[in-house]
Amino acid sequence: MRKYNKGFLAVVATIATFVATTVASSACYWFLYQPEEPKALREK
Amino acid sequence: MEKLAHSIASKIAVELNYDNDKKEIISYGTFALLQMIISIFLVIIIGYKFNVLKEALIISFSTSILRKYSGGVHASSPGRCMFVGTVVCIGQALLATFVLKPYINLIENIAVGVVTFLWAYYIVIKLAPVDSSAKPIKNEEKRKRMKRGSILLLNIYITFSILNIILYLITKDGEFLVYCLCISLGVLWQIFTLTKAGCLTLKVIDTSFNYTFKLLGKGRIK
Repeated sequence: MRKYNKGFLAVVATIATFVATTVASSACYWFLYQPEEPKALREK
Repeated sequence: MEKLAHSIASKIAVELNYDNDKKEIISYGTFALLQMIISIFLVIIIGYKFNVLKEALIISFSTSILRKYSGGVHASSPGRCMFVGTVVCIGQALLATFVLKPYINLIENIAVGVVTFLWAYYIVIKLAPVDSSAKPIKNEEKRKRMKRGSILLLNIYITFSILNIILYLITKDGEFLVYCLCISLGVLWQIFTLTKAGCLTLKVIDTSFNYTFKLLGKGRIK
């Protein structure tokens, strides 16, 4: 498997987690589609 | 797009030794980010092409921000979501700019705004937040918070609409009336998606997509 810069991946992971948490505290996504919410984020 | 988000999350989880819960959260967040970026990008490109960029963005943002608090009906796939969302935003922007603008004066604009916001407050108080099976909202405290957020947003939209009317009265520039109309149209569409009629409309669109793809022989039927 190709090696990725761990620092860069950590930044992407932090941004994605921040977005996921923000979306979890709202009623739904940006437009008209709502994927299954991860169990760990339910009722945040 | 869901596959791409999942693949990015898997790579991150392997490299950084994350567990499955963390991987799911990263996948969910990546997908949200991708969908948001592509949706806004599509509205910008097509809005620019049709010369209704500002109007389409006003409609897109007023709809989407209110949606985050009030919820609403969903499409069955991200592709359909982006297609319907973009068509609605651009269509409403074209309607406001090229069809309604020449005919709607200040009084009629105010009348449209008053009717829209009265209906919006009524539906939000009665129905919001409208959740989905993919993201159920069972916590009563959260439901109250979402409803309060929706009402607060409607208050903010009214303030922006009034500001646009004041700017129109000062400058006599008709663009401000169009912006005011765009806020009303954005709210109108979002509130419509909270109702049974909105749910039925999106189901019909979804079914039409399924039928079209089936005819073309390359559809993914859910």
